[in-house]
Amino acid sequence: MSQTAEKIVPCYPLFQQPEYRETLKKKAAEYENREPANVIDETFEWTTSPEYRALNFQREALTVNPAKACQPLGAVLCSLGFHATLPYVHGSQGCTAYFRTYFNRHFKEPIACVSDSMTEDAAVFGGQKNMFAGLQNAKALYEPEMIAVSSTCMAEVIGDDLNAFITNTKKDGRIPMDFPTPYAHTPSFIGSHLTGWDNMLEGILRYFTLNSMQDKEPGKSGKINLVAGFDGYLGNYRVLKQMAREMGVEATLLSDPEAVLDTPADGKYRMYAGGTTQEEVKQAPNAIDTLFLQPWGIDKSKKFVKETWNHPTTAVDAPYGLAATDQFLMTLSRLSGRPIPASLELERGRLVDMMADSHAWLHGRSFSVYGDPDFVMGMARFLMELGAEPLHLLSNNATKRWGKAMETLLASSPYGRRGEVHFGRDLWHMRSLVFEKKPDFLIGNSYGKFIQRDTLHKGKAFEVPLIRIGFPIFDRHHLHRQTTLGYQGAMYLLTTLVNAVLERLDEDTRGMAETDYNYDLIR
Amino acid sequence: MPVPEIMLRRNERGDLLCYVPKKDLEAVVREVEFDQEDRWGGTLSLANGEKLYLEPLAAKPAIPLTVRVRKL
Amino acid sequence: MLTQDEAQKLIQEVLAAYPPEAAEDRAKHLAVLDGESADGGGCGITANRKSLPGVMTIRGCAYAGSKGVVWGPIKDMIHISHGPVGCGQYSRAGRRNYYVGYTGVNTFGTMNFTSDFQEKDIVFGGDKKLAKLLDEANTLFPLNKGISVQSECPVGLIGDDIEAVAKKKSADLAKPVVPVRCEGFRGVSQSLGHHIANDTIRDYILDRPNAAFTGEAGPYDVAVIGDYNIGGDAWSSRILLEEMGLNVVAQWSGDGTLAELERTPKVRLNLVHCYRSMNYISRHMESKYGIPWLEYNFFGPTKIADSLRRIAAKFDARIQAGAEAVIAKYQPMADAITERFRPRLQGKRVMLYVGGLRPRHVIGAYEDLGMEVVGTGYEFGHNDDYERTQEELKNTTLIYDDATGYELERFVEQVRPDLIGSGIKEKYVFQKMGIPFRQMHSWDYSGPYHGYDGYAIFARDMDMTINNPCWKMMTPPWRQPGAEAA
Repeated sequence: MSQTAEKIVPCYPLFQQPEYRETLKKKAAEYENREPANVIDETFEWTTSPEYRALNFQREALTVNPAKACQPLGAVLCSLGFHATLPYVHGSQGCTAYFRTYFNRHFKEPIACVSDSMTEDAAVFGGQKNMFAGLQNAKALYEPEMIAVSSTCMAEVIGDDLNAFITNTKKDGRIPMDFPTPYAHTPSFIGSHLTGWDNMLEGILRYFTLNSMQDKEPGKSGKINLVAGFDGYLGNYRVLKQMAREMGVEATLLSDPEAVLDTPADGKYRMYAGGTTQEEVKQAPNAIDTLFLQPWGIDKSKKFVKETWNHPTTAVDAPYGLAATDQFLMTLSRLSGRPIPASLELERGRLVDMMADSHAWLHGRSFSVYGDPDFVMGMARFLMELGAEPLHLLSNNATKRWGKAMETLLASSPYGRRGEVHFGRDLWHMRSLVFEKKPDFLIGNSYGKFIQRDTLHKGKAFEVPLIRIGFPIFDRHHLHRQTTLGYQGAMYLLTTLVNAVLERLDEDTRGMAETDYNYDLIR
Repeated sequence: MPVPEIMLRRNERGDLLCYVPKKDLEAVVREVEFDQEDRWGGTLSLANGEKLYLEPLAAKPAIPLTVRVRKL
Repeated sequence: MLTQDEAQKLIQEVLAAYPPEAAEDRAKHLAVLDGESADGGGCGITANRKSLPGVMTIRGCAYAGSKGVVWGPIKDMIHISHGPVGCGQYSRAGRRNYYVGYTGVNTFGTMNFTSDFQEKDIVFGGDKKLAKLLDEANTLFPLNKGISVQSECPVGLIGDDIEAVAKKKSADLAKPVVPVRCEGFRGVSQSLGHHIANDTIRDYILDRPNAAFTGEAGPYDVAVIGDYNIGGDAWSSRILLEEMGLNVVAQWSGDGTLAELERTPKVRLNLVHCYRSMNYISRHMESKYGIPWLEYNFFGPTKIADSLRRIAAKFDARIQAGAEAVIAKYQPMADAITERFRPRLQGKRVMLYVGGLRPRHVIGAYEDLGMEVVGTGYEFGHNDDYERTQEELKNTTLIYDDATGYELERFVEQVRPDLIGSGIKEKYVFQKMGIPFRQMHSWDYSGPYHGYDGYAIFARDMDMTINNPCWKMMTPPWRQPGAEAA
């Protein structure tokens, strides 16, 4: 008996107690048909070997531990960034349960999103009846100002026509003709969550601007549109607005979910908060330009803005680190005619000051990075600015073209010499990569913790500690509120990286009379 | 409706239960029309109001039992 | 405490927000019960029907019921999420089905294996890819004991013949390869996924030629059915059963293995915790192998002691004495826990909205702590679940089947319970409203809650949440009644 009223212990360490170890040992020995320990050990060692790496990279059909999600997830996040907007997913209801849960776990926030619960009969007859009732019910119950419709693979495979269904719903009188219902087809068997985010944004921009371009003219409003893309950091939406504000540039974030994903606990639940307004979207074509800050995942919206709004869509890199933020601000300055203010220059100077302070601890340390293509590219660039060495750069949802651009980036710095680029690969590939060539650290989302566990199992010397930067982060609290873009974001990244190095060094040098000569008070 | 297969069993209280796999439905059998040692079955009245017909058996069966019935 | 009339009025108010057709449907899923008379017919609640479109149901799909609940925890098999990448990703390692093993070597529970369908797989079919990936999985993970193919929506729509692929590969690999038709559009919730998964275990595991357990069946062999070992629930259960003299030879399916499934047709008794998700296989084993099954409840000392005695009653005097010894050993600890927490929790009112067995099974544990359940409902229950629930209810209770986000919010606003037990999708809504909340699917990253050891944790968790200071901090001092303007 392990519990007492005074001391109550949960799963760990409860199951470490002798009586539990005994019952689990018996279970394994008598009932599980488990292989002998030596077979397990040998098999594990084999999975860490170069031969296994070669076999693993021959995979053509099987994905193991992917580092990407599917289109409608992105569409939901994009929709949440618009004022009083209810994301609506046309198709099977389980998808919506999953999207909500996934975001709940990352943001620790409620996620309002509905499904029209298509079932077997809809698979046969199409989902129009579901759309009729779904839009009507959703509007009546949740009183949104806009319903943004995306689709699941079920609806896509049977070929449901969102535009026709929505129009018919209105004609049937279920919701008013003028009620805003932008939509996007988001088949989950094409691209990733980034593609879905892009498609949904395009759907919304198209819905509100396509037929009202007569009086629109680029530059008329003097504003600049910023498109953050699929981003799990609330601070990033905020820092983009802040940088623009300090420059005196009126910026419109096209999809801005930072308020609805960060509502207060004050006794009231707010289903809607903040977000880009319909009016802002309607006026967006009058901006000087639209800057896409995750250029590797955003083809369709960019094309629409270029062709319909006649915006130059000036190319910028995702503003990770120093140079990319410099470039972003200079672009903003050139487009708006506003100088970069002293306040941002001061912030930049502080970042460089921090880089100088910490360079000795980061120099030559190697980092393997995985995640969305712009994140990986941005991190690689920043690591090289810090004098650190990007080792494995892996993006599951990136293209060959991205791979080439990454090679060029790595070649641009002596710190990129050891870098290896992998696109279309998953985290089981990454596992093989870090066993083959050990980086000092792994940078990525929470899924990377299993790689850390596996490498530790081989031995402390092989352990690759995970630094949690990316999406999703499920196993640490409140990191989603941080900032990774701009000078401010670079400060957070730098702080995180250098302290990971120092934590690790402390861990390695804590051994009394063993290594603690180097357990320095001052680092 | 085709002849459905049902499973009869007793719960811990001793109530006779009818389970219709096709409908994932379990209900207490309130009444068995013929409940004698040499004749068992006939109309089964379920607690949810439904009635099923079991061709009477020549002896009281061992429960649990899987049988085919007709919907009335 | 709501009266019958107040509760009825509340339901009518909620229904008024719906369009007429929807209101008519939802009315059948809402009720007020006072626990007076169990009628054996499902107490008038309509359940296990399609969710209305657009209302924000909490429910998931058949895939979630099969891969996420029943099959996923079988730790030494590989479970392929067959179709596009999302389903496997969203359901990866989310349910806290604890297990012990070398993940990626001889166990695979927290991993995500997927065929990551691309457009060409939709157009040309995914069978070839499936055949190939089964070979790849077996090459890279040779210690797997079998592979299940968990179908996602497109598989059933594009005419793939995964049964044929599975049959061929099962022969090639000399292992079970189980095709599971749990496409998300099938049925109305997770529930059909449980059923489909049960049926595939029956057809492809229990009925597999040469698969049967050939050892001796012991007189005290039992299987724990429908315990997913969330936070270790099955472990804090099996320890009691073994202590009373039984041999728990199989866990379905938390921390379960293929060998345990295969051995189960030889047990003396199947012990069913989650009736909803595993009654099917229990009925099958009763019908085919003559194995009786018994529903039990290991939440809270009252139900635990009752269950231990009911289980023991199916065995001989030795086991019955064993059960009494277990109760005698643990009851003082449980009493000490109750004594510590009951004064802090007495009279607190709880609303539940969960799945599976919990909307009824945890009522007793709350009552052990002096709390009362004033509302409860099932995400995907059937009539038999409501029937079983009614037996547990003592006071006037609001019942909601497949509740919508809107309904839950309105009910909670009016009832203002002291605690809500529901899921992650509901958690943050109610926390912001200032109502203490515990996740009753994942145990809010705590647990186990089963067994005597689990009861201690359950009591601690309810107390720490209900009595946390944060709930009183929601209103700034300058907005408190009578405060001076800031």
